[in-house]
Amino acid sequence: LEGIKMNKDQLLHEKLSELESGKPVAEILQELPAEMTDIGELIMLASNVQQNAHPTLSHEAARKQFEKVRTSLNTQKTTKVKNGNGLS
Amino acid sequence: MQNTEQYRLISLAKNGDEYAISCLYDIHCQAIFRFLYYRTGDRYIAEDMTSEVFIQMICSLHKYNPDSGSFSSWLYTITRHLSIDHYRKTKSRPEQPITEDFISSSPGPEATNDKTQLQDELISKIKELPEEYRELIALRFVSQLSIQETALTLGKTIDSVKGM
Repeated sequence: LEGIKMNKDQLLHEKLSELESGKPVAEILQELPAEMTDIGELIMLASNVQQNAHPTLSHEAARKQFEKVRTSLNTQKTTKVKNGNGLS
Repeated sequence: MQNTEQYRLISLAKNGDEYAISCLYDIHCQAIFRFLYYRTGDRYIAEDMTSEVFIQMICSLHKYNPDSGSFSSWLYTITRHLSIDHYRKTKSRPEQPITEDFISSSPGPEATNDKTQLQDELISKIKELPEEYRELIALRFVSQLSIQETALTLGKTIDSVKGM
């Protein structure tokens, strides 16, 4: 069973790499052995993820989150100064 | 960005330089957010966790060694650990579906409906994946990390990632 899983995983890697290098997903799926339907589904999913418009952090949200980072940085600096240490 | 420029920013950031930290944030925040969004399925959790990643980055930056791998891989390792901690705390996998937040352009209502439906299906299929494949898909196809960077982030050898 371990050997079968290794072969399957190896095949999955090969097919994902082909997808990354731009090979059409239809061709990749066609070349898959008929019994590897689960790998086919995973490749199809990866292809959809690859083609999908990814979510983005809005400018406002990005600034809001950076404010938290900045506050934390200033707190750390204050603590380090109180303890007599530098940041790095 | 050239690696040398990024290393200069990292070096400045290690000393608490706010401008350097804001540059590193601007370079990496979108990619980190995207990864977290796919991992959690929740925009607001992903937004909050994005700042947590960079806060953790500031605390741990002195430990980063460029010889051990790219800065991206190191940052994704922090991100991955934080998302694992998040699951441990909530003790559940994400439930909220990703819908209209995915849409970055403004297509017509019909196209929006089709796209939303496709995205819902996509996320629900990703949620069904075993954790190792979920991370693999997110790192390679959302974050577009190389096999080497993916291996470093997951704490595996390149051969084992190739064999995943």
